[in-house]
Amino acid sequence: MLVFIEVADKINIMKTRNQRASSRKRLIIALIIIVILFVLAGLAYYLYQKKHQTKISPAPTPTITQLPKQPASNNGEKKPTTPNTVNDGTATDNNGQISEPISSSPSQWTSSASGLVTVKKPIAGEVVTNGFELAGTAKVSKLQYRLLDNEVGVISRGFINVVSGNFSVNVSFSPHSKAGRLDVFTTDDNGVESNEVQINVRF
Amino acid sequence: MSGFSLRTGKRGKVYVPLLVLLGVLLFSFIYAPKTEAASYNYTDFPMEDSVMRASNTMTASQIQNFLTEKGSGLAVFQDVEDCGSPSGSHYSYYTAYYHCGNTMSAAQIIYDAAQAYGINPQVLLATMQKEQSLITTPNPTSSQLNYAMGYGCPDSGGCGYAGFFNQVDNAAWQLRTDMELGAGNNWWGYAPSSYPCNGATRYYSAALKTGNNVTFYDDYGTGYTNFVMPNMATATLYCYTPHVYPGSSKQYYSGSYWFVYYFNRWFVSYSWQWMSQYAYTDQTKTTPKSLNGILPGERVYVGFTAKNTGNQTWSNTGANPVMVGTVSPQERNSIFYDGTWLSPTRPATLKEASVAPGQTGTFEFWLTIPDSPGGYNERFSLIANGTAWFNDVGLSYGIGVAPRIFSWQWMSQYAYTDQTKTTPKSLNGILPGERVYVGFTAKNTGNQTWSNTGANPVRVGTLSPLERSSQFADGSWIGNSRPATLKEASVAPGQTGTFEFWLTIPDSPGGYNERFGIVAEGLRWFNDVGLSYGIGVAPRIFSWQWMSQYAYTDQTKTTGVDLMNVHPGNKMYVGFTAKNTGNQTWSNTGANPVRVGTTSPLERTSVFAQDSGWLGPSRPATLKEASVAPGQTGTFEFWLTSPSTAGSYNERFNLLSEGRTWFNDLGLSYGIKSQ
Repeated sequence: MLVFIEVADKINIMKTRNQRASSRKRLIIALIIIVILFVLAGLAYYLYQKKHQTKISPAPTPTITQLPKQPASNNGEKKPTTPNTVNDGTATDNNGQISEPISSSPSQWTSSASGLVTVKKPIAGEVVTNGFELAGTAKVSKLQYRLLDNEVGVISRGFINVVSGNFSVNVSFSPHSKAGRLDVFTTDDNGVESNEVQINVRF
Repeated sequence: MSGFSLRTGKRGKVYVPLLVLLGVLLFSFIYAPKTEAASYNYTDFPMEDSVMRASNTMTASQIQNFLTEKGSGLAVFQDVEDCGSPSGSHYSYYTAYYHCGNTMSAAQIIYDAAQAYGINPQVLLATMQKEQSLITTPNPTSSQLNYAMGYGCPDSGGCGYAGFFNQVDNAAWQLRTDMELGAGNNWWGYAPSSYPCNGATRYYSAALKTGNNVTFYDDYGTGYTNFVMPNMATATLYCYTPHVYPGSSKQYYSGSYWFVYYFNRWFVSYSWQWMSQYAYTDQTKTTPKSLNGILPGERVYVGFTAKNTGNQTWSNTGANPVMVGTVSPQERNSIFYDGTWLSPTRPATLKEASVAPGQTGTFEFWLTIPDSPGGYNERFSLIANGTAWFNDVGLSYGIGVAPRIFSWQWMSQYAYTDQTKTTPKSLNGILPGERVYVGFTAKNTGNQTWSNTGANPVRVGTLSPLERSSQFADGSWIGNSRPATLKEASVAPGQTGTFEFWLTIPDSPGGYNERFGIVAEGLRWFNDVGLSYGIGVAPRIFSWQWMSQYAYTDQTKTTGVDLMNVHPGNKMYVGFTAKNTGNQTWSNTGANPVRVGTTSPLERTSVFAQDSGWLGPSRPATLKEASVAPGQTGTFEFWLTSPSTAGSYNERFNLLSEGRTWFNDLGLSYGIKSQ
């Protein structure tokens, strides 16, 4: 009878050991999964930060809500005139074929806040002349650009094809002042702009 | 536990590849490129005068919402509505529309200017976008705002009229002024002669007025487009910006292209409301046609009327004609396509030349019912071709296609000696080589009209087995398994059709049961009613009876010759007549001409053939008559040349149908003694 009880106790002890071992195993597996998830999340966060840290374009100029008061033209008198338009230049699309030279210093490039658009030519403050090359890389299929003159506003605009991640156009324009701004951006079906890059240029 | 899975208690398996996939998806999200599509039509943009003058298309708050929706910096911009000095000559006019001296939102300024000069505010918004991108620029520069409408700032320099209000007010005034002056009206104290686009300039060849054929030039004087100015609204837009569309670098300015691009995208509205629809048997529209139980191959003339509930006049010509298009899905190739359609996705164009907003237009077209039976819901909508689809109101034609039934019933059949069908011909005991003209009539008991032309003409075909090559095929047949096509042009269900054709009796004697059926060629065979022609073909009998024979010195047959006393080298003209006692007509031409041949033995080379002009050494001659019917007598004549060796000869001949058979041998011979 005693022997029988001892055998039963041994079996119980073995069962308890087995149960403990099983619990430990589960704990280790759960820890491994948590570690893998942390590593993946960390890696994703690192890549995301790295991607969006570099060369982000300066914060857009605050929106103008009101200009200094302008007197009514000719005291409200009007006379038929023509032409009444600022002539828009256009661009010749090189379909992603970027010409050399191009700045090898990424710090001189300008990217959109989203990181989807990077303009490598021209660089900020560069003097641009009629026919200059606007080029860079983008993770979208189509872009638009507009060249602003500090005196009369838009003086050139057009679409840009992105081919294999690169874009390049030669921009034609006639300046009215000595400086301006180059905007490169994407638009949705409603024309709403996003992923904008703004570069101040000189004429 | 497998090498690639971890057991986590009761939570089941978590696969490592799944985690990797999650990571990939996360990275893809970060790097995912976005795409957008641009579509536009920039040539021959016809803005209606009524659209240009529609000043109530948007309220001030709608303009405000529009600017906000587009993310425009103008949504938060404001300016003073400066009406000038109260002593100014137009001050009182301004006060009727503007909040003179007050600072107002850009939206209110745009609205007020539209009201002041009776101009569509949408035109002002599109102009603003065309000139300075002001509708989509989130943070416009002062230069963009100061020359919001590009007004008074030509490429030659000397910009004036700075300021947002100044720009909007003057541009709105200018647009309406150009439109009125160009149309020959006095406006704002100016006569039509003051119209600034009254003649050619470096950018265009003629005054920008309705009906003028105008060529536009690039900056280097090269003409790049030419069209007739459709109306003053369109002319006014080109007067304001005398460039039609952008080209390659340094060629011509983008100009009005951007106006059209954005105006179309934002404001052109094509919409319609269903008014009625119908289906008729044909274009006369006299007999309505049910689309349920309709038969394959039938054509139905359908149509519908549509009320123009948009803001654009529909046209059936020009750059963007209004058409019917297939939907569900859009641009679906319709199985009801008819040869009259513009394409498999475009059944028809608007019938009326133009349909203004509020009016009703008509669209009509044919449907050709497809082969496959079943229920169909054929969906259509409208499209301004090349520009935009209209709202889909769910227009559809529910069509129930019945299965094609091709069936017939035997009515009669016959056989004649020829096509005149005057002498009936028994098909029993008929002779090989004979031709018989047979036919039958068949009642159309199906639901398809039979036709003897088109893609599926109805024909007689051989059966047992199907497409059997018939031994009775005649040269007049379409093929060896297609004796003939339906005689009548068409046979409607319930009517009776006729099929007639020749049979050429084959050589082999015996009894035949020649089976035929009807087939819609290329489509299907009809029911087999067991039509057959029982034909008994008698054997060919070539036989003859001796009638006479003779020998002369020559072909004149005047001087007889004694064949028992001839000399070597003598020539004799011999002949005989033979009565046709067989059942075959003898002929001296064709594949089997009847000839004289040498016998004893057959095909013996005759010693009398030399210098005799025979057909061959065993073929003295052919039947002289063109043909000799059974019971008639034929003639055979030929030369014999006595051989160089003297002796007695018994020259034996018989008749034969060349290439076919020898006749009965009567022992015809010429006994000749040469000494």
